[in-house]
Amino acid sequence: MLEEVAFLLAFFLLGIASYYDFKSHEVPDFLCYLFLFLGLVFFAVNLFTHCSNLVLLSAFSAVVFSLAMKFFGGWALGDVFIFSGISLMLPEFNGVAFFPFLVFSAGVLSSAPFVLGYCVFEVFKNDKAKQSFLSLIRRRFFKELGFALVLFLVFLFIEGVETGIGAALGYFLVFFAVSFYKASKDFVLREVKKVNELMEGDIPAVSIDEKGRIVKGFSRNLVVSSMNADGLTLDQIKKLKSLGVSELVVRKSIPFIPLLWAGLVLAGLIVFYIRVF
Amino acid sequence: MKSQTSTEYLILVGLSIIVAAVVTLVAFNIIGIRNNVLDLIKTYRIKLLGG
Repeated sequence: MLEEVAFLLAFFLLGIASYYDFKSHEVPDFLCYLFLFLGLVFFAVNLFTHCSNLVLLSAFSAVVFSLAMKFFGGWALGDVFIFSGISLMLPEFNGVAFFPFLVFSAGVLSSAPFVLGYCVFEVFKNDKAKQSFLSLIRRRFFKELGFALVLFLVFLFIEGVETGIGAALGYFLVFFAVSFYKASKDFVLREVKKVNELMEGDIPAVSIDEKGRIVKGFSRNLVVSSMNADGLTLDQIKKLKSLGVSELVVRKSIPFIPLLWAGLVLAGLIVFYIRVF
Repeated sequence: MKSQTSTEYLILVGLSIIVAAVVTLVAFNIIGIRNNVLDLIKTYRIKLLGG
């Protein structure tokens, strides 16, 4: 009963958060704190009623995961609060452990058709992107064909013809996907903006140090870090102007909470399917 | 609070999930770790959850 209440509450609150996120890539602070508060309340009740090692491990690993996503620049702070809240509210659901990861995976995969469609459309609309993709394929085709052949032979001896063909085709599919991703990354998923056109919340794709130079990897004394999905602040934009930086490469972004919402619904349906069948 | 993710990361994570799922399935079925995994789950249930 407790899990069902937590699920419905999460569904309802995620719906409200999605509305704000969709509108402005921002969720009101009180909603983020509410998720965390509710998470702690439900987790405390869980601890005293039917706590198991698996529940603890599920909740703990999901919270650590969300912090890691923030650290590596994948998520903004609002996403961390909300995902951690959901993880504490629903560490497992109807006996399915690691439920937060199911929600996350379902959410990410539910976006695949839209993201893929957008990328395919943009790559083939943009001449430079199309050329980059085709040249990547042309340059590495025979080398990758060789690897695929080796894979085919290895799996042919281990399992049989069908598995061999599957492995070779799978490898080729990955090669195409990676080439496509590289072409999309440079020409579709990133854009160069003049510093005057930068907006608050734009996610930088490069790090800039105090002398206005582009820095690769981890470094201290950064004015702008590429590992921050919260995006640029107005102060940082001013600082970039004062350093004389003329333009900055930024990553295109999308709101994440609607995906989590879709993920919660899909994960709920998967659990329902597992229970019924 | 800001709540957004870059499309680049989303694609990378999506691809990673798919690759991880495929590799797990392949390992589970071909390399034959199925029995070991089932044994692990059984041992875990007996030792930590008490049956």
